[in-house]
Amino acid sequence: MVACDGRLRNNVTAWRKLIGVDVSSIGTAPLRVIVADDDVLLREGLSGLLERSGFDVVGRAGDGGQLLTLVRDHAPELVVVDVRMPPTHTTEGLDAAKVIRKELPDTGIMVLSAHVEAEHAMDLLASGHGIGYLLKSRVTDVADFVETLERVAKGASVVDPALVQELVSARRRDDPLAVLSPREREVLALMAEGRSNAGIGRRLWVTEGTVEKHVRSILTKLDLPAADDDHRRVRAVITFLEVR
Amino acid sequence: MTQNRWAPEMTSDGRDPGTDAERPSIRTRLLAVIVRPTAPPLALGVLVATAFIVAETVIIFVLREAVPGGSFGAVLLFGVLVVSAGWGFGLALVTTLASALVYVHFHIDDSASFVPERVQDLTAMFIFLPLALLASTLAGQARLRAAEANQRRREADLAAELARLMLRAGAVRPALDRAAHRLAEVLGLPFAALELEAVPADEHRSAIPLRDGASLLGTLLVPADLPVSVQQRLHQRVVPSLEAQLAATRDRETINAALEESRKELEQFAEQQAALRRVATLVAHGVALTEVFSAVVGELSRFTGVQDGVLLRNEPDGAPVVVAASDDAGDASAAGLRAEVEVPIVVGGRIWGAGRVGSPPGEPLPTDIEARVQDFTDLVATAITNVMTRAELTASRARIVAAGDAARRRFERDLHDGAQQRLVSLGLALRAIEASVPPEQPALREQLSDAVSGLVGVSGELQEISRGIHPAIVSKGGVGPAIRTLARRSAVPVSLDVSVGRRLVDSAEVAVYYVVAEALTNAAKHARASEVSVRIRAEATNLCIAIRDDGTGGADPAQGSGLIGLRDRVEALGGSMEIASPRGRGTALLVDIPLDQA
Repeated sequence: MVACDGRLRNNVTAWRKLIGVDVSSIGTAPLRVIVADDDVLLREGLSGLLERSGFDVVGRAGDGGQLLTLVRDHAPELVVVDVRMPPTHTTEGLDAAKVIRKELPDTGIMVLSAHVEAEHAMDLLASGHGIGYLLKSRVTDVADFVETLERVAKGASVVDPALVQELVSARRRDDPLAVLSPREREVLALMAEGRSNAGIGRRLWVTEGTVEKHVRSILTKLDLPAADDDHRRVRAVITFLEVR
Repeated sequence: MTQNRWAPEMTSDGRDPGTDAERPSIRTRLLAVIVRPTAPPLALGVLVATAFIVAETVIIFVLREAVPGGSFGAVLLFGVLVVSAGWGFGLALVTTLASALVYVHFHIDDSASFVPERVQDLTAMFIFLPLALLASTLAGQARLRAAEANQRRREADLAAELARLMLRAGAVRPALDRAAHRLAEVLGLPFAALELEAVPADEHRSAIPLRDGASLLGTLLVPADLPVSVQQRLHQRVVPSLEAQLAATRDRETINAALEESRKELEQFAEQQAALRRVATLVAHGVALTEVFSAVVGELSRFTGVQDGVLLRNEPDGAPVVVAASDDAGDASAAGLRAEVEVPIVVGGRIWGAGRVGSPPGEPLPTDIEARVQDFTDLVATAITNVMTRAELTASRARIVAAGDAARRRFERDLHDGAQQRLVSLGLALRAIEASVPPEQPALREQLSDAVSGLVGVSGELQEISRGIHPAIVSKGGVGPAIRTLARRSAVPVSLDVSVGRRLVDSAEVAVYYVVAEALTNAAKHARASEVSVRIRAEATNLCIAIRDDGTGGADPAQGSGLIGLRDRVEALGGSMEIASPRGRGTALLVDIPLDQA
């Protein structure tokens, strides 16, 4: 199974996905990732960090076109892409993400941005699971970043805590969140970040069971549907927070 | 011969202003009866003389009977005096002689003889005679003097009346006719006429010229056969005063004409000034140029003697364009050459256009028309300059604001793309170094880790700073996302109603952002509001922002530069900002920004 040829590895991975085998359980096969950023320093820094952290950086792109070419060639498990790239430096990253979604829907995409905006978060979440949206400065928080990347590659969705904080602490008259207890608000925020119950438990130093109780309470109080997967949950919560 | 009649002037003699009219009139009437300017009929005189002599004779007879030996010659003097007072010297002389004879008769005892013989009789005669003659002469003189005085008085009254007639009359001709009529009446002439030009004499009339120095004023026509005394009187006393009056009348006419002329000029001048003032008021109020142009051609069309007033604007590449024309375009087909005058409109040292008027066909233009048209074109130039200046001012304000925004945008981008990006790279580089630190040196690792945290902190601060400098989110996403983010970050709950369906011009979107940002900050910091409502509408030509809070009110742009800066920014875009902030009743901010049709 140790294949050095990227294409062969890709095929193996695809086949494994097809038969429903959890990729991560395949020993120590590193996750194949493509990094796209027009800033050379950042691109190289990220690649170095990823490689040191056990990823296999199979490609580096400087703009959206290059990225798509590389993705089509290599079919990585993960793509790390900057929102702003040449030529217009506006939303090339988002557009490329949409294309990748269409062609290779199981690719995890981590979108990095200097500012995080709720509109973009919702756009990205709407495009499917396995999407991450983080502030660029998060990358220096290596352990968290790497863990988040692995989760996204596995299909979870992640939203930058800063954006979540902005959404949660937005003041509203007759705030629907007023019915939540402080602990429940904390849990809600972590839900919005895309963490699983286990992850939330780890964060708050409580058991998963306690978390589940909180979650049920929150969903009931806010009249949110129980989601069968984390991605849908994230999407529901973020949507709720944005429109309230 | 002059007519002897009772002259009605008698009554005028009695009028003595200031005293009782009755008494003097009786006294003077009595005197007048005796001392008359014109003598009564001769026959009456003879009768009176005879009557007196007879009466005196009887009286002397009676007296002699009563007082024998007395001399009563003085009684005879009475008749002499009366006759000589009333009649001419001739009759007086006869009466004197007759009285003397009677006197002598009484003195001579011999009643048959009337001739004095004795010496004392002759002496008495020679005393009586001269005395009687002297008395009669004196009386005659008195009569003549009185007659003379009366005549002069009548002439003086006539002169006064003529003066009144001629100097106060409106029309000269009827006054002259009345004056001539009055003259004839008073002087007793059959007729008299006054003419204003030289009229030759003919067989019925003699013409007396009336002069003022060398110039001829007119002619006085009187009957040709007047007695010399009357002619003399006319020449010496009537004609000079007539001349003076005619001269005065003529002068009065001249002055009146000059006054009328001058009044007309003044009226014209006042009308011109009023017209100029009307236009200048419009200019001062800053009305639209088209209105100024219309007003000016309207005033030009009111000038007498001109037509076809137009205002022209030079076009850089072709014939001048008419920007306003008066309605009184004359009949173009009317025959006759026309004159035109064109006055340039100079704006900023260059010829912007011109004002032009024309004359009616076949007529010349009024002499001062150029100056008068220039008055108006000067006003037009002022109006245009005002408009241009205002437009330049607005444009330059907009440029200043835009330049400031562009600078901030560049700064933010440099900060963000440059510095922030590099900080992250730096952090990654430090992480790489940290990873290569051997595990035996945890302290070094920790230091490196702290350094990275520091960098992350700086990056976060830079983010906040750059958001204050320029909201990149506006450039990227437009009004909607930017305002929603502001609302989320606001310390006071915000209820949003944003309907801007499209991207707007940069300056407008940035203005919206700053307006909302400032309003939300103020609501939180000063107003202590519990909710802010933000409503933004982008219509076809306007952007309307309405922000209301329920705080303490009392917002005053004069205190604190935030609102003034907003107003400057909004007004530089040609928009308007209104603040209503009564104390205790919250604050409402209304902003209207014009949008160019895309």
